[in-house]
Amino acid sequence: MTSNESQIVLFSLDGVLYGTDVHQVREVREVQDITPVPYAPFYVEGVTNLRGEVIPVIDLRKRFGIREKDKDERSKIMIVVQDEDKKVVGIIVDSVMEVMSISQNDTERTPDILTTADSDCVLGVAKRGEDLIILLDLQKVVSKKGVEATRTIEELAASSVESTMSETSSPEILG
Amino acid sequence: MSRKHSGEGEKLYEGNRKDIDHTALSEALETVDTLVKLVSDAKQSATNLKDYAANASKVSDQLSVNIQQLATASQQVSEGAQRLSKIAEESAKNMNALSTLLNETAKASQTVNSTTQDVLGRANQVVEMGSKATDTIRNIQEGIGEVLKSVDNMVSTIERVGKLTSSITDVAGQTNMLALNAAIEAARVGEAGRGFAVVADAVKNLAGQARETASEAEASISDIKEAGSSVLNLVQQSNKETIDGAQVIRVAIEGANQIREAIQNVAKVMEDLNAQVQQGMAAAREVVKGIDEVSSVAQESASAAEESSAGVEEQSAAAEEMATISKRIMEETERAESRLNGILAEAEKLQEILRSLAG
Repeated sequence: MTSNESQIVLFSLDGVLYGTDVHQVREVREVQDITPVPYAPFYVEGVTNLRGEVIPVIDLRKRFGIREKDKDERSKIMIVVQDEDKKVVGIIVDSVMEVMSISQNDTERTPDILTTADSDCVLGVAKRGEDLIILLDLQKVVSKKGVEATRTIEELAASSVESTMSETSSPEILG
Repeated sequence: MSRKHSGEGEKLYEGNRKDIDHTALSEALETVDTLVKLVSDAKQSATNLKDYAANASKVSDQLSVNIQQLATASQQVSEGAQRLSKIAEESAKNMNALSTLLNETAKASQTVNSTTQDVLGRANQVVEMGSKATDTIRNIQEGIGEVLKSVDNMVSTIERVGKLTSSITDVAGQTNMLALNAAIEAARVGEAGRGFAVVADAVKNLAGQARETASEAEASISDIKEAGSSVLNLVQQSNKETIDGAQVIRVAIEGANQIREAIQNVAKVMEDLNAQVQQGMAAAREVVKGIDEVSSVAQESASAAEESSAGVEEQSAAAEEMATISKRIMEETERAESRLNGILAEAEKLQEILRSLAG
């Protein structure tokens, strides 16, 4: 591994490839029993027991406003480490493929036109052959700040009741 | 007339009466008396003869008539005999035709008999082959039962194998997950985890291969299952067809048995017919013999009748001749009678003369 290369965990969501820095992922789990939590934000599936540790689980499809899909044996939970307090959050994705290296040469920064002030969780796009991999900062995706940023987009489509519920309950869950 | 004669005689003999010897006279008278008596007797005889001749003529006529009747009867007998002969001939012809028919019937019945034997043989063959076919079908059904059992076993075995492959897939998935997590760990460690990352990658590849192999196995298993269910379908179809076949064969055997029964009845009837034909032929032969006899008898009687007819004709001629002779006798007798009458009158005249002379 050189300074020109970085390791990412490659996963997919609705047919699109995503990559996130390997340091943000602690591990990958099968989708296990999830207990729904009342008043949690709409994109939160609930909580689950990870070796005695209770962690929140969010559905990335819901989080990204993509139509929902039944979980199958390929569905996985990525356990993401949050920098500030070392707490972890589970993220449900369609599948997790592998750990791979990407070169800086194959990576382009997100064009300014695609970003908003608060949506800096998309870091760029990497090429792998014909495929494109959207590089995500998952910590920002699951952080309170990121949530707030994406919510403004979702508010256009989602109901105000759910939005109101997420506003009041999300800090406790994510905090 | 006699008086006139006697008167003349008196005158004749009156003149020379003194010249006549009395003795001679008396002798003459005696002779004349005898003559008269003889002539009377002769006349009587002639009369009798005339009667006899008349009777004879009558009898001859009667005889002639009788002979004519006899001739007619004889002719009739002859004609009858000839007719009988003809009828006998005709009957003989008819009997011959009947015999021919009977012969043909006998031949036909023999043909029928051999045909019925043939059909009977074939019906027997059908029954035999049918029961063989039934046995074969039973074997096939047993075989099908075995196949069904084997396929059932195969399917359940394959299902067990399928469970094994799904557990292999399961293990491969878990292994893959472990490898993934190992790779993440290695990457997070950085340069120090590089060796470990290679191992993790190898494990991941192995897990992928295992999953691939398992999924290939699953595909093969599902192919096998499909083939198994195809086999089951085919075998069940075969089973149904053998059941249908067995049914068909059963019907065929039944039919053949019915044919056999019918043929046996026909054979029995033909046997009876044959016996009756034989009897008929024997009777016909007897009849022909009888007719031959009748024919020859009729011919004999015809020729006899002809012969007798000829005899009768001869007799008839004889009778006619006899009748003619009788008539001639009668005529002659009549003539004789009248002559005798004349003689008698003269004799009586002579007698009177003589008496007067003697007187």
